[in-house]
Amino acid sequence: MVEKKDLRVLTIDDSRTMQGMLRKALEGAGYDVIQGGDGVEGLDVLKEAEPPPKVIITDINMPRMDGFEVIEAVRKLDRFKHLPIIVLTTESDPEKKAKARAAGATGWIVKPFSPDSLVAAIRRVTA
Amino acid sequence: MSDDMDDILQVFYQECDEQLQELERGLAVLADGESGQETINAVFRAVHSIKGGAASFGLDNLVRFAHVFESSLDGLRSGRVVPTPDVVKTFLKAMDVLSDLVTEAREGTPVDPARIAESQVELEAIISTGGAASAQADIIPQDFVPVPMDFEPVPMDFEPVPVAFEPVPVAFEPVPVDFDFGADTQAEPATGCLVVTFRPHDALYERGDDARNMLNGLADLAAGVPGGHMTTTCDFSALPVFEAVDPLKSYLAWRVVLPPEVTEDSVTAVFDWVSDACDVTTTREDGAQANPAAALLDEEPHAQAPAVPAPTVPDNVVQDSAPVTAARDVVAEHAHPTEPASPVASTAAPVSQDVHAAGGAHPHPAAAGGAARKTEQQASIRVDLHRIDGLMDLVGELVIAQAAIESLSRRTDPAAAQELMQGIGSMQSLTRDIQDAVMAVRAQPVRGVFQRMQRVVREACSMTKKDVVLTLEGEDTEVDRTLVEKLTDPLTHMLRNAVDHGIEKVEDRLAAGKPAQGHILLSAGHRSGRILITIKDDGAGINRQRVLETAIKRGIVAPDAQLTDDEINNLIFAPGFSTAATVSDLSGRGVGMDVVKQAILSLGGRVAIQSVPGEGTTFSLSLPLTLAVLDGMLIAAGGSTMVIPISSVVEAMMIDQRDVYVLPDGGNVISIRGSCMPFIPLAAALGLAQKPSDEDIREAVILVVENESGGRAALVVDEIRDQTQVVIKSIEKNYRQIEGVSAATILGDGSVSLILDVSALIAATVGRMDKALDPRRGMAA
Repeated sequence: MVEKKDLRVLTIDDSRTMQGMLRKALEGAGYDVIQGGDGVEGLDVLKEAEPPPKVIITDINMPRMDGFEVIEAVRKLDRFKHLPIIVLTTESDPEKKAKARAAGATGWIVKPFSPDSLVAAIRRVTA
Repeated sequence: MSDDMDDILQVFYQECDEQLQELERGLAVLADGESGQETINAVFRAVHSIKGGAASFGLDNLVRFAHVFESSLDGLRSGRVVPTPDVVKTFLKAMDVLSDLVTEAREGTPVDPARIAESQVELEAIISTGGAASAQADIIPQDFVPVPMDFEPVPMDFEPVPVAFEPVPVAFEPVPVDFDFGADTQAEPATGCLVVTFRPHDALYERGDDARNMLNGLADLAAGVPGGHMTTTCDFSALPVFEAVDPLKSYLAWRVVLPPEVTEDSVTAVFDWVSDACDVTTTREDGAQANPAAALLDEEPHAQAPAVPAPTVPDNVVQDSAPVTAARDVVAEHAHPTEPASPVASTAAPVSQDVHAAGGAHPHPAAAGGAARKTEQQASIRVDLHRIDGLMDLVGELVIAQAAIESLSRRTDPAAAQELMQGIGSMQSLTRDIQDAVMAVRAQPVRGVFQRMQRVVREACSMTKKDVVLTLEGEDTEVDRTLVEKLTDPLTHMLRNAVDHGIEKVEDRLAAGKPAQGHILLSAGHRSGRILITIKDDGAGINRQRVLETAIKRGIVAPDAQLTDDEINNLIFAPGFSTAATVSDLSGRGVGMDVVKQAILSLGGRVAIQSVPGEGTTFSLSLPLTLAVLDGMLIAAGGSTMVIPISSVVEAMMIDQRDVYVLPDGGNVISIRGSCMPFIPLAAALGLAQKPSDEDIREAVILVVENESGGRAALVVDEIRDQTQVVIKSIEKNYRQIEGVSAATILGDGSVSLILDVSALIAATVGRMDKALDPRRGMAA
C-alpha cells in the first residue's frame, strides 16, 4: 500500500462514529482527511477546501441533504464535475444503487467497510 | 482494541443515546397521531444509524435486531405500513429492546433473548402484514455480517451485466499496445486465458471515473497470479483524424488478455459499478487467439493508457514497464474528457442505449440543488464539556477576585471608594451576566430525561397491569447539565411509585367513576430562579390513615403523635417506610422514597407533596438551576466565617432570652411566636466552642432555618456579615465528607469558608433530642 499524504479525501456522514472510523482508516493509510457532518456541510467544506479533495466518500441517508442530492450538487459544480464520488452506505438496494449511479456516483461500498476495501476503492477511482 | 477504536466506540455509544432520544421523540409524535414524513424519516434514520455503527463494531445482537426494526420502519417510510396505535406500540417496545441492546453492548448486561425474540416477531408481523417483506430483508443478513475493523477487503459492490461488445467499424489497423508488467515477460500461456474487451461510454467519464481505473483493476487481477501478466491492446480504430477529435468523447477500446487463473467473476467485479457505462465482454480463450496480444509493442504504460483522446495529452505517453505494483503508485494528473457529452454514435452498442439515457439524464435534474432543505437546523457547535467546565471555574474565580477587590476598596479613603464601588458595581453585574451566559451554555433541556420516563411508565404499567398515560409538559425547560443527569434516578423512582402506588387498579378506578386509563402529568418550569418539576397523578391520593398506621407500626412516629396532613404525607419519605401491602415487582426492585428524597436534597432541592383523597397526588420538586453557585448568607460563629444557603434561611432576629427553654438533656428549644423549635448554638454544634453561656447568648443573633421538609430550627450565630454569591467547591472531592457541611467556597479575601448543610444540622440535633426525649413529633428529615 502506498502512502498518499498529498491525497485529500472528503468524507460526508452524519454519524460521528462513522466519521471517526473513516478518519482512522484513511489517516492510517496516509490520506489527508476533511469531513462534513451532512450533505450541506459537506458541500460547504468541498467548496472551501484548499487544496480541494481528490475524492469524496459520502453516506446516503443523512438529514438536511442526502447523498443523492450531494452527488447531484457536486456534479453541478464546474470545478468538481468529474471528482470521483464513492457512496458508502448500509443500503444495498439495487434501486438506490441505480439512483446513485444515475446521479453520477463513481463507486459504491457497503458498510461496514474494512479499511483495506475502502482504500482499494479510493485507489480504484483515483489511479 | 486500540485506543483510537475505543474512543470511536465511545462516540458510537454517545450517538446511540442521541439516536434513541431522537427515536423516542419521533415515536412520541407518531403516537400522537401525527405522521409527517420528516418524523418518519428521522425515526428511520435513528435506527439505521445505530445499525450502521453497530455493524462496524461487530455488535451482532444489536445489528440483527436493528435490522429487523429498520425493515419494519422502512415499511412505514414507504407508506406500506400505517402507524396505527398498535404499530406504534410495537415500535415503542422495540425501541426499549434496542435501547437495552445498546446497554448490553456497552455494559455487558445481557438482554433476555425471549424479549428480543418477541419484539422481533412483532416487528416481522408488521413487515408481513404491511406487505413490506422486501427483497432488502433477504439481502441484508449477508450484508450485515458485522465486519470489525481489521479485515478482509470487501469488494466494491455490483451487479454483473455482461455486455456484448459490438465490433466498431475499423478505420485503420488497430495498433496493439502491450501492458507488459513482468520483468521476465514471456508470452501468455496459450490456452485458458481470459480475454476481456472493454469500451467505455462517455457516461463513464461524466461520472468522475476513468477507464484507467478498470484497467488497473484488471492489472491487479493479473498481479494476483504468481508470475501473471496482463497483455493489453488498445483499439484506436474509432479515433478520428486529429482535427475531428472531440475531447469530450470516448474513442478508445481495449482488449485485455489475463492469465488463465483469473476468474470471470473477478473481472465482472472490476466492471461492476460501470457496467452500465461501458461495453464489456469476457471470453475464455481456447488458446489460439490469446497469442496476438502477446507479441506487442511496449508502447504506452497502463497507467496512462486511458488518457483518452491520446492526441490531446501527448505528455502522458511515457515508457513504463515496471511491475504492476509499482506502476500502480503512479498518480498521474490525467486529462480526460471534461464536459458531460451527449450520447455518442460511435459506441452505439445495443446496451448503451439505455445507459446513455441514464447518463444523459444524470447531471442536473432540476430538483437536485442542495437548496430545498427539509428541516431548519439551528447552527450549533459541539464543545468538549471540560472546556465549559473550565470556563465555569474561571468565572467562579472571577467572582472571587472581584469580591477581593470589593473588600479592598472598603479600606481605602471613603471618597475614592465611592467611585471605586460604582465601578465595581457595574463590573459585578457584568460578571453576573457572564456567569448566567456560561450557565446557559451548560444548560440542557430536561427533555431527554423526561422522555426516558415514558419507558419507565410503560414498563411499570406492564408489570402492574395498569393502563397509564404519561403526559410531558415543559420538556424544553433548561437546567444545568449536571443536574439533568442526576434527575433521572429520583424521577424514575417517583414515576414508578406513581404507577404502582398512586394510580389505582382498573376495577377500582371504574368503581370510583374514573376513566380506566390513569393519567400522570410530568411537567417542568422555571419558578423564581429555580426549576419546579411536578409529578401529578389522578390516582387515589395518599391514604393518610394507612400511612400513619404504618409509620406508628414501624416506630417512625410515636403512637400518640399529633401530625398535620402535610406531616403525614411527608412520612412516606421517612427511611424504612413502605405502604405497599405486597412487595410488587416494582417496589421490590426500587429504592425507598427516602432515597429519592435524599437525592433531591443533595441537589439542593426540596420536595413537597399535595394529595387529595380520591383525586390524586402531586409531588413538587423545587431544584436550583445549577449546582455550581449558590446565594449564601455569610455568618460568623466560633471565630469562623461560614456560609448558609439563603434558600434555607427563613428569618433572622435578635434573641429574647425568655423564649429559650432548657430540656432535661441540657438541650434547648426556643419558642418563636408560639411555635417551638430546636435551638442550636452553631459553634457548639460544630465543635468549634463550648456550649455558650447565657451571657454569650444574649448577644447572639438567631437565624430561623428550614430544612427541605419544612422542619425548622433556630441557629445561634455570632454575627451576620454579608449576603453573597459563592462558588461551590466540593469538599468531598478535596477532603472528605463532614457532617453538617455540604461544601466549601473561597471568599473575597481569599479565605476558605464552609457551606453549612442545614438539613443535616437539624437532623443531627433533632436526632439527639429524640434520643433524650419522648419526641413530640417525628421530624421527617
